[in-house]
Amino acid sequence: MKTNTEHFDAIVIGTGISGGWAAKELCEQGLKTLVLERGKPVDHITDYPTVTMDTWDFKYREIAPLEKEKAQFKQARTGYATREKYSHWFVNDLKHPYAETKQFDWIRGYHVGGRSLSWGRQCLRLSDLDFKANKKEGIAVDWPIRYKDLAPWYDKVEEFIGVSGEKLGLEHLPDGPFLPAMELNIVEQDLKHALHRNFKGRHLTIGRFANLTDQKTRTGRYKCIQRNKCMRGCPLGAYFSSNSCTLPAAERTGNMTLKAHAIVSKIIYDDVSKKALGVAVIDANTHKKTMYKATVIFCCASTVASTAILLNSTSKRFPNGLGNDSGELGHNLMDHHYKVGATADVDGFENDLNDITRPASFHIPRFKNLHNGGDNTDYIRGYGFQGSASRKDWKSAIQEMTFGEDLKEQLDNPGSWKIGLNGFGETLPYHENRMFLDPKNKDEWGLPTVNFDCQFKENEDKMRKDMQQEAVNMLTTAGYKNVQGYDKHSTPGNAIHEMGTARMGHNPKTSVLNKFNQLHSVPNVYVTDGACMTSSAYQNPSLTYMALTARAVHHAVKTWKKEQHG
Amino acid sequence: MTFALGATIATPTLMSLLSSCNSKAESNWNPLFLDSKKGEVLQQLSNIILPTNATLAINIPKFIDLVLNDVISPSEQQLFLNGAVAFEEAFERKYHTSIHKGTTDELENLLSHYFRVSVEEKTAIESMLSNVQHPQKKNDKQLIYSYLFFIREYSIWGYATANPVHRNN
Repeated sequence: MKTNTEHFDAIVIGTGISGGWAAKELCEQGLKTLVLERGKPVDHITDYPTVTMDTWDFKYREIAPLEKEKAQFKQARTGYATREKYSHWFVNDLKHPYAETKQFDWIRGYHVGGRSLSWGRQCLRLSDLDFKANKKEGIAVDWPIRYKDLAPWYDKVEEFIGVSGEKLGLEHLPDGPFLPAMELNIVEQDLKHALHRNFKGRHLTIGRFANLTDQKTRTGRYKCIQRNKCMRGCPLGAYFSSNSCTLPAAERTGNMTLKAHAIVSKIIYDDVSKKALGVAVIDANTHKKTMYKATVIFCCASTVASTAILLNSTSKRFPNGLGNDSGELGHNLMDHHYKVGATADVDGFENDLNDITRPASFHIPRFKNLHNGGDNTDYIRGYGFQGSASRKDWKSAIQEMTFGEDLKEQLDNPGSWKIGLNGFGETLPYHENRMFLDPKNKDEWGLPTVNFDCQFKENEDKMRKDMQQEAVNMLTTAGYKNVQGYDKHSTPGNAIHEMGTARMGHNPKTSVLNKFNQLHSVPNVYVTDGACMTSSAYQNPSLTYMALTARAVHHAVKTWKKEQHG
Repeated sequence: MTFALGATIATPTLMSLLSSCNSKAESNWNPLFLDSKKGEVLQQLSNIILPTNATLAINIPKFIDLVLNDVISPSEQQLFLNGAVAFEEAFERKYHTSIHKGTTDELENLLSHYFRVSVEEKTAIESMLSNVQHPQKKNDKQLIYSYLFFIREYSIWGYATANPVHRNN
């Protein structure tokens, strides 16, 4: 293996939502930083191939051809990743295989920006209800931080990325410095009022989305015009992504070296200094191996990929993976469980055509088990709902049997109003839910592939029953018609909120990372993506990864400066 | 020209209707998946299910044929072909002539027979189709409904996702 002679102050592995933040913060604070991405380069705007296309411009009109379904047969489990408009943001499963002792939908993209291009953009803070829950209930291990530790970093992140939303003043879903909220349509407002009238402590609010809704001048970013085609990449930079925001900010400092097609195979540990020396990189195209050295390493390759790198980074000191003294590395894998809720038809608003293409759903924040003593549920923790109301579109006609002029009229006119609620529930961290490496099955770069052994359990199953019941209850109470509960079965990974596997904790014997996201036993390695999560809460997690990353970089830079001057 | 169908025109045969249309509109769509005769029947059915205009009268069946060719699995393709045969046979039983010599009125009447059903019958049909079987083992009724629903679904898809310039002309 060739060693690159240039010494970097820092290396960031990964360019997704966490890696982009690590790159920006490290570079802005003066560290010469090498940023490594295993996939292809993606430049903002110029590399968004479908950004201006209309449905009829696509050969298959947004249906996935069989060839794509076969090549991306696991990504296809999302129901949308193989569509022509997005499929380039998701991996080829034949080229990037993994095994499933139990089904796990590992949905991902290998390119600069990672899933920050295709993310859901919902930004919800965790609170002390979440940070204290494990300790209070004796589940897994205690988070080593509390809300006050993270609050200023949530502020910093939200101010930079821009989050539109409504302040609610809820202790369990803290507010941030929000940009103007997007509007609820008339039916959503009707449900909001119905909840206020009939349920104590239930709120319906517009989701908190990382889409710019103000006119403030930001470099290369403009107000959202509600194209609602975010996942293709935004030509206005109106929603937050690494490509439009953090990587350009890092680039502007002159301190970033960004290298695509660079697969990190392992982090190299030095027995003498008891720190990591650098990383071993395989060129994705030539398969040439190079070692890059740095003082600090930020592992931000994503929950599963970061832990895979750590598990593969074995040495005499760490035979079971770097920093894995606890044996917890790879364990406590979580996701949110979802695809459960209810739908209904809504009469009485036929004259309102305000069925806007808003790139945001509404949100009903958690309302169960908020207080000591809980709500007498047969499960612990809680869930929230996301949803929307809209006019039925042409797809609803497919289920019917009209034809001729009747069908044409149906397609040419707005349908009746419908509304839907989709629950997102917390999953507990179970030690036995895990990912591990399979050294017998290697990928084309000679790296061991990942195997998943993870399932939802009794607590999640009981919660789902309540989620469906409460969704039905709310829509029925609002007076809507044809209320139908549903549970479409949620498989781990499918919410694309995978987390855990290198959890934070106080005790090196039971956790992998400390309160600053450093490996307990290798302090110059930080892991700040979803791997670090000690519990899942119910909130969409990306905002928390960004806040933890900014906080960890602050700590790393302080330490680095001390060493420089010491 | 627009593609007038049903009672508004005297009852030309399918083939003559197609040839009269094709002489003025785009005439050379060659199906990728279907043979030309099955392509003609597809075009007729699609146009009766969703009457549009001259451009979409061609573009929609072309799109359905593309879906048949590139999107669905070999077993779904076989199911469609078996359904086409079952439907042609049903036509012959009813009108004692080949579907290719039949009139659009006859075709529309046969479609009405399958599509104009009560709510209870619709539920029974959906239940019958959800009973998954190997294509070879499906009875004629299952095959015909699979075939007609496929054409209906992708006619809707082709229409709703068409360029509005084509939709509104």
